[in-house]
Amino acid sequence: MIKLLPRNIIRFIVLVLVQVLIINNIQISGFIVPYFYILFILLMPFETPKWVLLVSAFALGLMVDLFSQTPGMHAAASVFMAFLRPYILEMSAPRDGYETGTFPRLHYYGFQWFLRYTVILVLAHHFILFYIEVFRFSEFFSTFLRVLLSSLFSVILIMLSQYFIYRK
Amino acid sequence: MRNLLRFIIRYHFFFLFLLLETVSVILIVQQNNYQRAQFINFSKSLQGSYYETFGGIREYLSIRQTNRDLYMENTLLRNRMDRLLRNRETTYDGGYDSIPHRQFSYIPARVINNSVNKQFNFITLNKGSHHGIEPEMAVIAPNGVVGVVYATSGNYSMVIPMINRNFRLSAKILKNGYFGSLSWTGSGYQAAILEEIPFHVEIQSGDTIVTSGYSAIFPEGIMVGTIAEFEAREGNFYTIAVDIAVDYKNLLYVNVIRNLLQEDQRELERISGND
Repeated sequence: MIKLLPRNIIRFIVLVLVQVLIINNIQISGFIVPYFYILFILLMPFETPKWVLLVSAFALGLMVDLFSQTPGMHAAASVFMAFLRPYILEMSAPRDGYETGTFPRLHYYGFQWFLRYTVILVLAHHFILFYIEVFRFSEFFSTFLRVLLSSLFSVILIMLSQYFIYRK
Repeated sequence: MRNLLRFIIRYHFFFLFLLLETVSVILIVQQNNYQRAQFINFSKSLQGSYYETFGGIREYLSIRQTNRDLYMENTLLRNRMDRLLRNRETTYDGGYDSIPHRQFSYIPARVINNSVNKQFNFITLNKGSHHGIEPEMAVIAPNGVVGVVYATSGNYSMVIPMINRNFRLSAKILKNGYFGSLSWTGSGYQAAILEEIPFHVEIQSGDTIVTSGYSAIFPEGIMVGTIAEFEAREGNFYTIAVDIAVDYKNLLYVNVIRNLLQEDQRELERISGND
């Protein structure tokens, strides 16, 4: 349990670096950008106090913002996502709750559970982020298409990471 | 107080969420040029449509008065046109000048917001830069000077009226041509002060004050007001109280005046100012 904190801090740093140094520079067909860094919020332990969740999501978003010159946008989306997370977890909990000593990972709760959990939160995050970026509703459907496509790529990246990086 | 605190602590998750989102939105609006422009645009257009609605109601209520003013102005214009035509026939001896020597062009606009009870009053018009209005253009009503355009957006423009403490106008006495500087007293939407008229000039209350045309903004000879009273307060100059001709409380249709030769005049005066 004591190892949790340094592990999360390292994950925080690594994910921000991967996002801003590698993924931000990959643009698939011009306007689709996957956002991989939100994996940090997905993987925080079940027992994390809610306020820690919000504050660390804010910090995470702000770090990504700093590197991509968009102050506040990623922060707003990430905080919204962190706000939803406890409700989504509650909604999709197994019948006898989450076992202690486990983490919200594919390894513990299976492909289907993790996919659903990821898709809902990634969609929420991308929705907020892309609509803040265009900041108007006049091109609603073209923005919506970007949300869907980018979410697809983000979800694929996150699912793959579960098989390759967090194998164990 | 304690209950409030307990309430906040109980729902701290939600309040923290609101707080962090607010901080984010403030960051977004303040730090990102595009989002800030969108935000300002939105609030301006909201304001504009609000004023337009209420302006519409006001317009309907004062339609009789407006009709009369328009009618009077029509008559005036017709008279003036007649005189001009005759002038041209007599001055250009035989030859006809095909290039019109036009100095001013008039853009009609409607007042959609107006204040008279502040120290720095402003008027909003329903035409803007899309319609050719630029800052520093003159604004007049059928019965006299209104003010000067201060700022414009695409569809709206803001006017500094004569009843604003920052307003200065070069005005002259119609009957003898002595000119001075006109400003607002700051009290009442009908009273202005004309200064710098020398002591030896003969004036009476009721004399007409018009624009001097020296500023390259207003055409010469537009009605400003009439002399209410005057006194020789200090030194060699009168302090003249002027009744403003325009009724700011009942202002609806105005003309914005573009001076086509303004650049010409400014350019020339800059050259002579440098020497």
